[in-house]
Amino acid sequence: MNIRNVLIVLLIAVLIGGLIGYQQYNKPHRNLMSEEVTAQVTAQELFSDYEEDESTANEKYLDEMVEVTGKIERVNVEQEKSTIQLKTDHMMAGIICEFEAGELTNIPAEGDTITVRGICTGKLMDVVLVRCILMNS
Amino acid sequence: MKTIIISGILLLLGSITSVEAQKYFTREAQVSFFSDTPMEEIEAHNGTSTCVVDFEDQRMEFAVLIKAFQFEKALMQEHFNENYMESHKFPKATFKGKIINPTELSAKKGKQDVEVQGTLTIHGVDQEVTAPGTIEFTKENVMVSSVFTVAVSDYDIDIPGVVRDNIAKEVEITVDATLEPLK
Repeated sequence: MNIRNVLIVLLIAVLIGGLIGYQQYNKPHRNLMSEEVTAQVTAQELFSDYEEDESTANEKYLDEMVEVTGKIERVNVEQEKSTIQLKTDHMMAGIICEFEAGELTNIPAEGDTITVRGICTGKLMDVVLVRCILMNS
Repeated sequence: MKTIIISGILLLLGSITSVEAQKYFTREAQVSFFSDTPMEEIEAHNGTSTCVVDFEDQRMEFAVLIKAFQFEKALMQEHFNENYMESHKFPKATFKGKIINPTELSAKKGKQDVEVQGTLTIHGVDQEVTAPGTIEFTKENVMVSSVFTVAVSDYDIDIPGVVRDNIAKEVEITVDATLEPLK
């Protein structure tokens, strides 16, 4: 009788453990629509912050959901992932916003001013935002 | 005689300008990696890598942001960043090298096999690598592609025992880039 009770408790524990593990394994990616925006900036502000001091900017923006408003310099639509580059006063560099496949349904035109939400991954030449969502166009 | 000199000059000019724009660039190079074990297949993609190729001295440079790699599973992406790559400490991976073979590329040849040698920096560790690849000159652009493997242990990346069988010792890296002339 005692052993049976222990076995039942063990079985339940293993089931719960397995379920939690399975849920963890399949946990969804961050949902940018329900997350709070950490920073609302213009493309120029974001870029200037990174130009001034990369490590301070990383503390502020890295891995955070950032909402950026800026003018489109270039649109690159691909089957898989598309990117939009936002203008800054720098001749060569700006903000690169990467959209997952199928995310960009209405493709805005070069020169349009748009607002984009994305996760900031740091700066190479440009500041890079991934998993972007277009807020308006 | 005159025609010989003129055609000689033209030939010379032709060879000098064989690769017309010397520098090519992209900020949308595709870099992905693939880890294959009997337990699990893991892959991740990064479409925001920068790549510069200077055909004058055949130098080639790549840079990627580690956090910009996207995985199918959020948990894997988290482990990759926080535990293995420590991307808060080492946010970038870079390659700086040279096309060593052939020693001179011709823009007229189309797709050519190349060999690239240089320093690959991942997780703050520099390693000398040599990788095969192809370079193709199209009308306006240059396409660069390569597939090579890196050993996880070469870059001081510590994989804990519980997931050791899930992550390959050697990870396959695929690079695909379309570069535009730099004006």
